[in-house]
Amino acid sequence: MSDFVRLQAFTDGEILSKVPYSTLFDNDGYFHGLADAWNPVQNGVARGYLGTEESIVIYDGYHVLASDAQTLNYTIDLINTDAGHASTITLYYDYGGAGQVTVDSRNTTGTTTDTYDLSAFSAGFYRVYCVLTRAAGSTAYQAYGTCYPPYTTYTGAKSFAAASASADGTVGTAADHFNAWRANQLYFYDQLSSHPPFNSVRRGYNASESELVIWYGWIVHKFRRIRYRAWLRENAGGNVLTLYYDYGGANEYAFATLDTETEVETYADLPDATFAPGSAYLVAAVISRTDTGQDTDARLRYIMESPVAATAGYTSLGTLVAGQYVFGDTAGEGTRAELLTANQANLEGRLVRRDYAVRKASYSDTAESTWMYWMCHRHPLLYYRGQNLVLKYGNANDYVTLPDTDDGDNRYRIYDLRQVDGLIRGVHYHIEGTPEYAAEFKEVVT
Amino acid sequence: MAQDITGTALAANSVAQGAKPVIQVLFDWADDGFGNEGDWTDETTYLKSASGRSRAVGWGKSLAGIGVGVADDATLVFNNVEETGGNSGFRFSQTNSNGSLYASIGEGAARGKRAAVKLGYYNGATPQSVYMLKGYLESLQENYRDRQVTITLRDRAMAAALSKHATTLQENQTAAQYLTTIAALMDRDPPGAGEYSYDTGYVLLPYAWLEDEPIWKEMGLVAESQGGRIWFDHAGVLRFEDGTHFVRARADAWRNPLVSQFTFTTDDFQALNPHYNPEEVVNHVIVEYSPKYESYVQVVYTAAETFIVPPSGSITIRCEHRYPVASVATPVASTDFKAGTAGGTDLTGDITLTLTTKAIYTDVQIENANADYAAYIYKLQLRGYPVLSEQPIKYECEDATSIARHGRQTMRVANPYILSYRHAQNVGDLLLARFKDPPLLIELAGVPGVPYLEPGDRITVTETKTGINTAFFIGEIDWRFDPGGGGLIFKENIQAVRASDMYPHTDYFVLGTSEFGDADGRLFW
Repeated sequence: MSDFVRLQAFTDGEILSKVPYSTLFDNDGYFHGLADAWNPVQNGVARGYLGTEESIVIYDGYHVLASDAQTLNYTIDLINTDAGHASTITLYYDYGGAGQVTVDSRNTTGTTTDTYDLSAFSAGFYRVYCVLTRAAGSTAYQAYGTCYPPYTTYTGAKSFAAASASADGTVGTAADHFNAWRANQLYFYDQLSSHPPFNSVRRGYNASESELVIWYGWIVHKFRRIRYRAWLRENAGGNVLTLYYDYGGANEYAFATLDTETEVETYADLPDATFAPGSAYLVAAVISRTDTGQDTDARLRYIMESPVAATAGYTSLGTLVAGQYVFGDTAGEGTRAELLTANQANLEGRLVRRDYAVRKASYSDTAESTWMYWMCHRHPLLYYRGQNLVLKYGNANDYVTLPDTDDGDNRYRIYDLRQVDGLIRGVHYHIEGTPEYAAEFKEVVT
Repeated sequence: MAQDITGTALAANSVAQGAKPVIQVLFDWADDGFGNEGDWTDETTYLKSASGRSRAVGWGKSLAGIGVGVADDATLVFNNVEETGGNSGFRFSQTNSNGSLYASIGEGAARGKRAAVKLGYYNGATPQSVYMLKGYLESLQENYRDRQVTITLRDRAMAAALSKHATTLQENQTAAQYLTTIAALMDRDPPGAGEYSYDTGYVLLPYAWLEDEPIWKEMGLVAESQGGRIWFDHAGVLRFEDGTHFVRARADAWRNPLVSQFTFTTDDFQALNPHYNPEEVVNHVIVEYSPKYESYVQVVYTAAETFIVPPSGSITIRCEHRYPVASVATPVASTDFKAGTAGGTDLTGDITLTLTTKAIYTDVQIENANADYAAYIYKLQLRGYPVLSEQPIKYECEDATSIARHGRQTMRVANPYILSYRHAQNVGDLLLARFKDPPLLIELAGVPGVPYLEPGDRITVTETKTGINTAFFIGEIDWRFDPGGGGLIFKENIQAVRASDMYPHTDYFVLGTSEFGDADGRLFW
């Protein structure tokens, strides 16, 4: 069973049992924990042509579309160095499939941020593809394309509605209180996003450049604490690895600098009140050096955000005892019914449905022979695509070999992580091999 | 709940000196069905005596006032008269082909015939009665020497107990919804409109299914999971009452568990025997449960045999799933099934599968459209969404004081519909609170028959020498009706349990009525 327990509708006239009443508190606690869960920064791409090719892939990945999250949110950006020689950036959904659609494209310098209605698609597994193209006669003219990680947002019918006041003396009714709390929990449950991985990377310089961005990612800002695990192979020649938040933006902030040959797994806190919750920021990992003859490479296992402390305003409740007054008859319990309303008001907005597309790890710009996805386990069902995949966690003996997918009936597969001993919520694991998609879901997607 | 006696004088006549009892015994020899009792045959003329019992059963506690169910039975003794006219021989003979009832009871056909017993009193010259039992004939035993026949009746649960069915997986159903589903599957007399009344239940059933088990047993498990009971009342109405039922007010006084349905005073009984039965004590409860979850699509059945389907023919096989499933995916040719001739020619394209899926099995009809060759089904598998179980978990609770006094008295509850800690806690804590100390039991012997009372009814008992003056819930009623020496006798023995031992409070929180406040509305288990 899910950690979220569904309740039947309350009706006036029924006696309130501790089972549903406790479950209302339990469920809110479940959402409170998930609302403060670690979120991986999502991998996107900003790149130009490498040579004289007429097209280059900007983003190639997959997306699991759910029937209650059908609005695709996307951002594509084009920088064209010569307006007389057009390049076009185009984003496709269900690329190569029977229902392939052009989500958007642009051929002038600038950024397009918009949404696209995917309601014509049934729930399922789709390829998301972004490509930068130019005419045969324009291959001498550079352009740069960027694709933020696309995601779908909630289109279901549920919404949040605060329960009526439940102060001392108020009659507790099914409609005004208990079913309102219940309905909000069903809404919160629908707001639980799929849990995408962090696209781990290892990369060195291309040539004799003094610095190189080895990883781009975006995140919709929520928390200030940035957790990361990074490694620098060689620090000679002034080589450092720097991790930036809002890279190139108005508030660019280097939250980590590695200048020793070591791997660190730690966190840094972003400055307070600088970044706006709900806004997307570019995160980048940059290697740089003073001696361009001194090579190095660096590895990022993960970058995730988490709260500095538990989000304020949510109050946990002690154990309920049969025979107690529902409202509370001892010190500290006198407002427990009001607590449900207050806690749900606190939860509203902390859970926002975003089902991300996931970029193929095999196309990450890596120089490492094994590519990987990095996960902090949250949901029970792992949707994935790829070959020769091994899910590793814990010590060396803790691994699971995942069956291959193909381009036929098994374009993707589902693995039930509840069947993996020791893989409990919060445990980090990674998927090696040639992974092309992985994300955890709370239940079978319909 | 008692029976509705509005418009009758049964309450007064039940204790009135000289009130003349009346009985009526009806049989549905012609299979007219419940609801058509007016067409049934009245055999009261031949009745010599009658007795019966209604008792709460389940959870190992005889007088819990709650429990898995209530069992009603009756024993009726008839004069097996010799018939005259066009008929001859014994009336109730199962072998006398000349008997008028032979077509109904001959050659073992008596079992399962619908029957009813009504009891009451004359109000002046008008007989007034209510049902004491409505159900089925269970056995018929002839006694040649005494020229009599003994017939035992069982309440309508008999039909439910004899019905076995399977269902599809029922997800996120209330107890009432699931009971409605399975009650409709009864092979005989599924309760129709007005023949059932269900509380909603207070814990949702995430996954429920019936796997060729008796429906009555399944209903008992559902009731137990809700801390309540399932039963057919004396009038044949199927009732599910969850654990909160007995402290929840009803508008009609006759069905209000908070209203005493009868007050027994010293003049109303021959004996009042209170006792505390240490056998009733439970001071350690273990509730075992296994959380369940629905997993992703996977193979749930693989055939171990090559099936042969004749040319232009079909066969149906029952495929037992490895796990209960929410649904089975449409089989894909070549992936899920392959067929060929004995010589190896591929016939997969000639095969059509038609599925009828229940939670635990799928009936697969395999049709072979090829008119020339038998199809050998070399591969057959089904993929579905299984409901899997986590490791079993135990919730335990105990009372140290009671253990010190009575020794450890353990009760184990293993109910497939308890799937979460909170639910297990509810059942365990409720049982512990109720039985950690022996509840006060009383036996009222030789009370005048009060025909409208049923197990679970709240009554009041007042007696000065024992100091008893409080409310009880009826756990068992034994009744008897016979001519006696000085006229007709309708007497009962009643066993009951003190209400406050079942529910320590009377002010539980009622949605839509109770106020949030620091002195109003307590939390039920």
